[in-house]
Order: sequence, then C-alpha cells, then structure tokens
Amino acid sequence: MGQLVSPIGMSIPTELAQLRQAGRGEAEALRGLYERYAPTIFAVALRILTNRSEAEDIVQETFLEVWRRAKEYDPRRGSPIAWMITIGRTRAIDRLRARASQDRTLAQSEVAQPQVFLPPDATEGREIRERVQAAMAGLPAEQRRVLELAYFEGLSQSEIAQKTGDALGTVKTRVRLGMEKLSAMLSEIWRAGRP
Amino acid sequence: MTCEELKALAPAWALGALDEEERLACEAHLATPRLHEGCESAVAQAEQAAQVLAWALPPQSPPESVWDKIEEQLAEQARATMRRESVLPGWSRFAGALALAASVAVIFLLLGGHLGRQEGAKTVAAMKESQSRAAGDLSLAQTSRAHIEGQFEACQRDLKAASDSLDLRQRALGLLAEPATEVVALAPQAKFSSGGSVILNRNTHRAIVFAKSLAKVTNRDYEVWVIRKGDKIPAGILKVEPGGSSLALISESLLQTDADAFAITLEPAGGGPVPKGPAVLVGQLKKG
Repeated sequence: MGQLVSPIGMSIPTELAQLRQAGRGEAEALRGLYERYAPTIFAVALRILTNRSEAEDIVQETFLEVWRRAKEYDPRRGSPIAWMITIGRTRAIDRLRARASQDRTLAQSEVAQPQVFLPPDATEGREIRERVQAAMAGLPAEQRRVLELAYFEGLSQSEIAQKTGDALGTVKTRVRLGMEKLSAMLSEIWRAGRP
Repeated sequence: MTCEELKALAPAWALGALDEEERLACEAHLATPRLHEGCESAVAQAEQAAQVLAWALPPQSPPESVWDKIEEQLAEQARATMRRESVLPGWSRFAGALALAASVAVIFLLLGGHLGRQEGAKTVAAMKESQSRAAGDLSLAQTSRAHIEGQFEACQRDLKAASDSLDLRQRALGLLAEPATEVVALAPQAKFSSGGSVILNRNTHRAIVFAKSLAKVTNRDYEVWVIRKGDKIPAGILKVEPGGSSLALISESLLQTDADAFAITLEPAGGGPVPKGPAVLVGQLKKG
C-alpha cells in the first residue's frame, strides 16, 4: 500500500484536517485548501464553461459552499478534493445549462493556451497527474469521448447518443467500460502511492 | 429499483449522464430508508473514479481577485452571523443582554471618571466585539458537537444492524458510550465499496474496528493496519461475517502512542508483516 496521498499531492489527512478546520470557521484553513485546489477546480470550470470570468465565479461559489458545508462532509463519501471538485463541476454544469443558447465560441481561444500552474511544492502531485494524463490518453478514443461529453458538457447518455449518432446501448457500454478503466486506473495510482 | 440495478447505474450517475427518469429512480432508491447493499459506496466510488477526468486537466491559477472576493464574502457572512447571534431567543437572549450590560457596567465602574467619553466608547465597542466573537465561537462549537454526535449515532446504527458476535458488539457499544471515545470514519478506497469506522479511546488505548459491506474473498484476507509516522503496523485479520460486516479488537499495545491513521487492505490469506495488497478502507485521526 502506498502513502495516503490524494492524486494531486496533498496528503488525505492534511486535506481532512484543513476541511475540518474550515468547518470550524478557520479561514486560514480554507485559504490552504484554496491555494492547493483552486487551480484544479478552475481548470474544470474553464473546461466546462470555456469562459474565464464565469469560471472565476464558479471557483468563488465553490469555496464559499465548501466553507458553508464543510461540517456536512462525510469522509465515507470520498476524499475532500473529490467532494470539492463535485461541487465545482455541478455548479459549472448548472451554469452551462442555464446559458445553453449562448455562443461559446468566443471564449474558446482562452482554453487553447492554458496558463499551467502548480504550487511549488506539488512535484509529487504533478508526477501523479502526468501518470493520470498518460493513462487517460490510453483510453480508447470513443470511450474517452463519451466520458468527456458527459463530464464536461453535462450530456446524458441519450443526448450523447443523439449527438454522436451512436446507438444508446453503445453509449452506455462505452460509459461503463470507460468508467471501469478509470476506476482501475485510480486503484493503480493508490496502490503505487507516491512516485 | 434494486440495489444491484442502482450499482449498475452508479458510473453513469457519477458522470451526471443518467436520463431524468433514471436519475430520479436512483435518487428515490437512495432516499429509501432500508439496508442498502453498498449503494452509497458504489456511488461514492464511481464519483471518485470520475474525478480522474478532472485531475487529467492542466491546473490553472485563478487570479488573486477571486480569493479577495471570497474573503469579502466570508467577512460579510461573519458580520451577518454576529447580527443574528445578537438576537438570541428566550432566556439566552436576556442572559446575553444582561451579561453584556453587566460587563459594560463593570468596565464603566472600573474606569470611573478616568476615561474620557471617547475612550469609554472605544472600550464599549471592543467589549461588544469580543462578546460577539465569543457568541460566534460558541455557535461553531455547538455545530461541531452536533456533527460529532451525528457520527456516533450513525456508528451505533451500523453496529446494531451488524450480525457480528454479540460479545464484541456489546463491547463496541460500551466503548462507544465511554467519555473521550471518538469515531474515526474509514473511507472506501478506489474500486471498493465498503464502509466502516474505528471506535477509539485514546485515554484507555482501546480500539475496535468495524467494517461493513466487505466483499466475500477467497484465498485472501482483510488485514488491519495502524499507521504511525509512515510505518504500517499489522493489527490483525478481519473475520468477515455473513452479510459482510466485521468487528475486531486492536491490541492495546499498538495504541500506547497515538496513531496517525488506520487502514484495511486486502492481502494474501493470513496477512503479512507489510501491506502488499490494495487499500480497502482508510481513516485518519484528528491530532489529539
């Protein structure tokens, strides 16, 4: 078994401690979580919304929700970062749906050249991230495509089938197989622990 | 919808890819107060797996103004909380007002005529601020206590539902009722969908591990580990009861010094001195 480290660098006990401190009203702990995880949540929001200003709003809303709901966090439902990403992604998808008719092409250029940022002490996190990226690249293209359409565009399996022209059953199979591989990948990363 | 059907839909649920009808059916199933067969864990596990898509993105730093706005909001919320706290219900409101009035009166008595009007006003403002902060702290402490009590109640419910030997279950319930006992939640790892807790009393160095929804395994065993400063110390094999629950004592000798975390891994039959298999459940301790 590897060390207890979340896939983007901070140890799970540290994450939990900071989340609990935030739940007790310690703003400094929230700042610690923000410094470490805002770049990931911002990247997710930007990928979904393709608009920097809206993505910034999502980061702000996410951390305010984390602040309000930190006391409700249940470790049995996953790691703190997974919980925070879920909050951010849900808010971004909600906003995406709310402005579904708006033109998103204007902001596409902002995503084309992302400003890569990692905290200076996150070397381990970066190495794990590179491993995740390599493994993701190893997923069959059609499986990765359905997962991305669902996760980043908020499309249901029926909507994906409609968009891609594939049969609904095919889409469901790709979702299932893709998620099984992600799960196995995650398990492998946990097993390996710190590189 | 059965638990099996829910678990089959969990991956698409985690991606937010279920159609409305399926999503509502899943929500209704999860909201049903019944003994689920690992449904919540399956959803949590799928949600964890879905996060890999987020981790694969190059992180991007939001501008500093985002944090500034968050800080502003926090300050505004704190002010609103203080305003609410100053309108406490019933006798506590009266007592709070009385205490504040008494404090202010004492300050004025002590200060007598030595302070000018301006300095007196500053002192009263400082007293009010201090009192508001104290009220805020009390509110947070009460919320925190409610959270801990909730964890204890959940653990009690799980224990009562488990089918493990009566003696050990009674000991676990007894330990749970002792002062200074804490419950350390064990979180499912990666593809596993189990759950559990460690009931721990640091004062008496006693701990009982409780796990539920453990999958049946052949030629392998679930092994408990006490983790301290990076060292993984073997703490015994879990005997899994029909239904997937398990209770096990952790030797007091392993708890003479505070642990950092507990873990359960899946190991070759009989376990081993060092963990080689995947982590099934992990829970960290709060610093004492």
